[in-house]
Amino acid sequence: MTHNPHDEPPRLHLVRDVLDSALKDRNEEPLGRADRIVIALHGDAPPQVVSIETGSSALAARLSPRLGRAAHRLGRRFGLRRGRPTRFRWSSVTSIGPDLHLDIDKSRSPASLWERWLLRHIIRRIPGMK
Amino acid sequence: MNARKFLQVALGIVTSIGGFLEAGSIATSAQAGAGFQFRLIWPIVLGTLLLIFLIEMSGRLAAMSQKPLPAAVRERFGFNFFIVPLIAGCIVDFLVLGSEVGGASYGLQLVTGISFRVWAIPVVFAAWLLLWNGTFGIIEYGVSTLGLITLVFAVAAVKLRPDWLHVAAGVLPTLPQHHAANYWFLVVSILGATVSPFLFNFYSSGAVEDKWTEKQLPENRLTAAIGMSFGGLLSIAVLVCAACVLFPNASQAQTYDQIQQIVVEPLGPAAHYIFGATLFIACLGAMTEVSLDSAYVCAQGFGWNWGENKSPRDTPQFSLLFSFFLISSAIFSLLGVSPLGLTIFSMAFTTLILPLIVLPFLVLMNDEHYIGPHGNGWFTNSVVFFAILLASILALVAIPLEIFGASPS
Repeated sequence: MTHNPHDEPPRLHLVRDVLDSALKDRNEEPLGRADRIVIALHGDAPPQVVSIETGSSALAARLSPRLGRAAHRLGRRFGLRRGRPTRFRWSSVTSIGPDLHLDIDKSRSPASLWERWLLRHIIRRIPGMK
Repeated sequence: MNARKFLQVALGIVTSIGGFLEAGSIATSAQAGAGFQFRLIWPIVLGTLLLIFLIEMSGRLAAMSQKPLPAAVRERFGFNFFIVPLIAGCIVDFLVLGSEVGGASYGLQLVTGISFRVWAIPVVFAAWLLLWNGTFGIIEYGVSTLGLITLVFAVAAVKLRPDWLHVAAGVLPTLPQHHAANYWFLVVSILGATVSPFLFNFYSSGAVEDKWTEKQLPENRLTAAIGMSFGGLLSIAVLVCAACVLFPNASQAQTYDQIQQIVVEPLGPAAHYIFGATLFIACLGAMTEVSLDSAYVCAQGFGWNWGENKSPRDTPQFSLLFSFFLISSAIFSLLGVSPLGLTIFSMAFTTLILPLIVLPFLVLMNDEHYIGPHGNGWFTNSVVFFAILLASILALVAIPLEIFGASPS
């Protein structure tokens, strides 16, 4: 977020300050990165940022729509969230810059599903890791 | 500087020296000495200078922004750019890792007489155990201190009593008088072996793990300058040994069996075992660093939990990634691919992708948002920009020439 010295309120540049930033939970645990920003359009009202998404399908869609659809299909078949990216409400953002802090507990968030799956199915099966 | 700081800097320098030589620098320097006597010392000097700049820059970025290079690149340039150096870097890391596994396995072959293909899996398992159970300190200080065994090349070079004036003349670039394509290909490979991106990624990640701040900037400068300079001298020592032993007899340096002669001749037959052990330790250290590098780049770029000081329980994606890279890279040795041939080519490809990694790095080093008041000066910017661009253009020309047989050697 930049601060203008001429009494203007601080400005937020969504692409520079939010997109691709590291997401941290309330205990500084990483939740991924801001892979996509969701903006809602309501008639004549100004566009409104509603949420931030993280996940491979959101990321693939940024490279190309076709890749995004392929990642979504793969996710529906093999993903733990059926291809849906993890979505955090914009209202849960507590601070911006250099990382994006969210009022979220990682252990209860779908953002840690893969981590928990790998831990349960692979890491803990390695001798000495129980 | 107080005693504790002095010790820290000294330890940093010792580990930089011990961790400098690996399959790439040993192979390229030996081939350069065998084929062109002292004429290819200049790319080692140029590469080492560039490496000093880049290592210092990566430590400074980590100290000022608390972010390692891949994380900063993703944030500053976005995912659509980040994916390009990510894929290129992972492919090159995989090839380099295959070279290091081959080198370490070949070292054991020289000592035991058992084929390197048999040693590939035990070597990978040893490195994996080290990474899985070790901490950053064990990898950085333990393995690199063992790497001081590479000083054997310096001892051998001094014992060979080369004409030091002739050696010094090699610091100045010269045009090749014969085998031009091979000469330029070796220049490119030497630069790739010296300016390895895994070195500065590893360094900046270590600095973030050790929670460096602005206070560490003077130590960072000293470690980069002194550690890398002595490391570069070790590469020159390998070249000097090869120039004294292999060049006069027009001997080849196409296998590690041939290269071992560069220490056996000055130090006696028992040095055969020292060479094997040196190759094993130097490559084992590099294996841990390269596999960590691939995992660092992915985990930092995607925002996963990472850190060699953390338990694999806390960093599942990161730990499984370095395990995957490490284990799968044994495929080259298992298939019997020549470790030396793979090494020379993977070093040349490293040079080719350098601009993808170094040019965004330069932009970050001039961005106040990341580096505060400690941005690069015009001199550093110019040296790094032009040298990397030139090296990469050279790689673009020299690699196809070598692959498609323009080289008469």
